[in-house]
Amino acid sequence: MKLKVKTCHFNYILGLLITSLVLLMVLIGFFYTPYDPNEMNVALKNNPPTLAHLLGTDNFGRDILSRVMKGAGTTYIIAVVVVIIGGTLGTIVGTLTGYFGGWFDEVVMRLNDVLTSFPSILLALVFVSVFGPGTYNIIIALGIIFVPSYARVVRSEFIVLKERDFVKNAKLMGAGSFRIMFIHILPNTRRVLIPALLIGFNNAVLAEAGLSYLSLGVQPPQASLGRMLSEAQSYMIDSPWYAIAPGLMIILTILGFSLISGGMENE
Amino acid sequence: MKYTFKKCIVFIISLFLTSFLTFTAFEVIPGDSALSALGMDASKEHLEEYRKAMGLDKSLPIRYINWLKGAIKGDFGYSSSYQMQMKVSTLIKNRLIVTLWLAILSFLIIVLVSIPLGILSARKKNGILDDLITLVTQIFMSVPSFFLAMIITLIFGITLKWFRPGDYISPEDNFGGFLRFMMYPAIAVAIPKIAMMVKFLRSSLLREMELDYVRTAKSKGMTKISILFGHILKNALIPVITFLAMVLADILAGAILVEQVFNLPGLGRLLVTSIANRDYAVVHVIVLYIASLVIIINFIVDLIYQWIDPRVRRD
Repeated sequence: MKLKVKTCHFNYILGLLITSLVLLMVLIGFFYTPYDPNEMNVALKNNPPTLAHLLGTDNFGRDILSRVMKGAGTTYIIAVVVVIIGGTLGTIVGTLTGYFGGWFDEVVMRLNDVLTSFPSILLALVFVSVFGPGTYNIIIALGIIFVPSYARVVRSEFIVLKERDFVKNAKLMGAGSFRIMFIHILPNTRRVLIPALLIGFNNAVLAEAGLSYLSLGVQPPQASLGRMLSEAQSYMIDSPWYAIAPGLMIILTILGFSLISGGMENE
Repeated sequence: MKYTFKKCIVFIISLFLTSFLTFTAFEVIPGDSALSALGMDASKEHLEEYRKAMGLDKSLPIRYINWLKGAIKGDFGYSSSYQMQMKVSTLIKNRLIVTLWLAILSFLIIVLVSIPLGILSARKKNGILDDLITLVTQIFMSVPSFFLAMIITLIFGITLKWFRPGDYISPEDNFGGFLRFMMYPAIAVAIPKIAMMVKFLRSSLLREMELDYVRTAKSKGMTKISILFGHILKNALIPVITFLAMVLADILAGAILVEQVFNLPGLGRLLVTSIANRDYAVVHVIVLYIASLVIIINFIVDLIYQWIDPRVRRD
């Protein structure tokens, strides 16, 4: 048993390491990149990795390392906003349905079940086809699509917690429903809510990558991880390193966060 | 019986609701479909005539009912894209076959690979190996299937030349060649899902192994293998079935992206080009198709579930 705890920690620490590495790269990318990520240079078209350009250059002679740093930043910002929108709305819906129950809960949760059974990329595609492609549209689309998953997590915690003694005590002391819900119960859901937010971030990164890969998300010349993969697709034969750099960045991001959230759930 | 009946009702209502919601979503899109079909300089009389002929002058519920009448007969109207003034149903039929084959192949790969791997990984529950399995499954789960598709193209298509990238073989011309070509996209769709399945099956098996009946079986002197195959596996696979339904829906979604990488003429690619061309008639039908497939899969799973696990019926 003791060994198990130790091994859990190993993956958790590995996750922390990967995530801090990736985050550091992105944070630096907001202020400094080795080259201008959008600067084109015909002389450097499709160059393999060299000391001057650690990850090589793309079909316009742009530095891939700079573009990955900047592009990952764009992807992260999109993912964070999506999680904020989905997390906030989902928490509110989950709080209200979990605390009050009744027919309102029935109806909302049935709707939730229907929405979650559909793959999120399909829903996002419907949204984008109705409202048009673009960064803001995919943020709104994904934000709304993520609401049910958080609503479900928060709701199930509320159903358990609202029967606990500290809630009954608060009620006896005359605390209002609003206060009980948001001040007494909500902070206690963090044990499941934080891993859910991390997984949501991962799903948002994947969804952004997918939509931008289909040219429906971030528009050129702006770089994002999905956008770069889409551009790299045509140059797989001449410069495979172009696709590998943003792809690895996606994998490391997702791996880091899922190892961390896995470790948290095991605590 | 009551359970089945209830599930049937829910199934029909879900199909109905989905069709109505998708219909409404694509009806409220800003823009005049008469204008886009006839061109900007069409005369007023022409536009009126077109609207009347297509039933666009009626109210939304009536238009929906008219559409539904056609849809039940398999008539979904015409593609509004000017290059291909053709029936949506013919356009979709050939594409559907490609996507369905992709889904079937990847589903088979997932089931055939992940169940043995899941069982193997659950039998070795100790320290470092335990950790390694978690890490490996986590790594494979982190790879987006379309990036995997690009890597497979790079390794097997470009470097090893086992297949010609982008050179799709149609099933009518050469069915064997078609299947061989489809294996690559199917593997790309399958690998992340295999990792998910192994992780899920493993935890399901480990949970089951701690239950009392396993200890009873052990004390009766049964061997580990016969307990595993005779008792544990049957119970551990029950939650896996629900999980597989989710995976099937995910396969259909993953196919949208992977078809793009392999240049497969499937539903997903048609969906993406139709969105780019603003061909809403086609987008609508494809979304409806995929959504209905998801609902049908869930319905079938519900039925299978109550058949193998009688406890469900009592709830």
